Amino acid sequence: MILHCDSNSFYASCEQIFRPDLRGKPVAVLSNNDGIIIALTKEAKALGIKRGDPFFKVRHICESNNITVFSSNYTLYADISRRITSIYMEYAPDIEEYSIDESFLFFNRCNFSVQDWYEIGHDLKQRIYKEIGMPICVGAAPTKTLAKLYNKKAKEHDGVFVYEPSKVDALLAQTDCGTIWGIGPARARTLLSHGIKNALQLKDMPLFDAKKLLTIQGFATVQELNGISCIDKVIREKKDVITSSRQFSKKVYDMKTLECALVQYAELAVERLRSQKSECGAVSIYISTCNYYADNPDEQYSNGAIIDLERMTSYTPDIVMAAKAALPHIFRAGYGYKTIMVTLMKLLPETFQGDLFINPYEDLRHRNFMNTLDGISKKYGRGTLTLAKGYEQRGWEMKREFLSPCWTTRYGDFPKIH
Amino acid sequence: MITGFPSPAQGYEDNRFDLNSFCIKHPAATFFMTIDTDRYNDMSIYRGDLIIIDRAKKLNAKSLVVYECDGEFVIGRLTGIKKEVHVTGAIINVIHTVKEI
Repeated sequence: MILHCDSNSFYASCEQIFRPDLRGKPVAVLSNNDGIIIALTKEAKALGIKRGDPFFKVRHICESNNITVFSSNYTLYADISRRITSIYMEYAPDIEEYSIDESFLFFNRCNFSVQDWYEIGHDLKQRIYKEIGMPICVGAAPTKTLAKLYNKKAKEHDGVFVYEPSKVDALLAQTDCGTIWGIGPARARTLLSHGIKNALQLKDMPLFDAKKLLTIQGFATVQELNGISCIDKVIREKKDVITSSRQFSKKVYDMKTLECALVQYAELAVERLRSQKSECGAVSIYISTCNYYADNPDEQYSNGAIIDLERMTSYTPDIVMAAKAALPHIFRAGYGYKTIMVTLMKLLPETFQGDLFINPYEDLRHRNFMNTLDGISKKYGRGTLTLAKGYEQRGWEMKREFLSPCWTTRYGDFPKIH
Repeated sequence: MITGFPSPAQGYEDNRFDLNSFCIKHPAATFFMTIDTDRYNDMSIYRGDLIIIDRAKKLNAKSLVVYECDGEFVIGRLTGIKKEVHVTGAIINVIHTVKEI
């Protein structure tokens, strides 16, 4: 059996945990740069705003209806997600974190009755709500595709919904193909043109046709609907590249400001590099005006460069210097840049195997310095100590006008009792 | 080559005392709050204290808890709460830094 657990409007619910005044109130969360609405509570939905609405278009609705709006606070969401995952791990021998707010819990070789699964589901749901404050829904079924479908229907079943072989066909008959995991609107249209309207017809489709019409992925989906597990747990390996990029809040025209952004993003990338205990052999940078809505294509420019490092390293100054040196080669004056991306490549696990041409004491000193730096970031928050260059020019940083405190991870941000 | 006498303390080492594991039994369900008021002095909770809240701990009538009241977090004994409220969790430790006089 596989349990699929999904938090209800995860980002918005995270924002509510430490704001008792917002319990049962309309809340919306915005994407990076406060661009579009990415999460909202049911109270906010009822007021007519939707996921994907650009914030500037619905700002007046939010203001006139007292919808509390937040910029996304990924520090908070990641911490809540980590806590939820650790509770899932107490239940299941094997879990897959599918995304920040969804997990699959695998119970192989467990022969529980439907009643037992309902009990486990409700217990899990109640625990997560009591111990973390997060409302979740649980779907239980023999395959990942079915578990996801049962989760989707769980809201109508008190938050927990369990697969029963005798009832599954009736459920599939009322389900559109487009809502099945892995099908989507385009494939649903293809299926419709072949007379397949609901998920039951999809389930009963000959496998040969499924493969022809929907490729191997559709073949797996049909198998999964028949209760045959084919979509394996996705195991995320250590990443073989690390990317750090974000859009600026406004256009940047001068190289000096761009350089500051470059330094900060490179620092962030190298910090992630060290946290996965790797070193990199090359760094690439990419700058772009990146304006998809541009009226004038002549105003567009983007360029990138790859810099091979002299040796494998995870020492921030070395990597930042290399990235900085390449910037003048790709920078063209006169464009309004909107984004910069730093990618670390050729990653290998860190080793202490020195190079003949470097001083081992110097190398050790560098490593100790980076350890101290990471320790300070961990304790006092990211960006407490940074390279001075990153602070010379401001104004390009991500727009986060409505950012909530990091309630759970930063001493100064802990909730206060008045 | 390793030379010299082995340390006489070898085999007697202990892990250093860990305040985290001493104070926190359910790390996933434990949250922190700070006190910004004098009204809980009679409970020996003072302004500036850090309280550790365990949302997983089983409660009894005498439990000291943080709960939600009119949209705010407040502190009280479970027995003293007269209306239906959302209880956040039990206060399991109060960390009070001694101030120099």
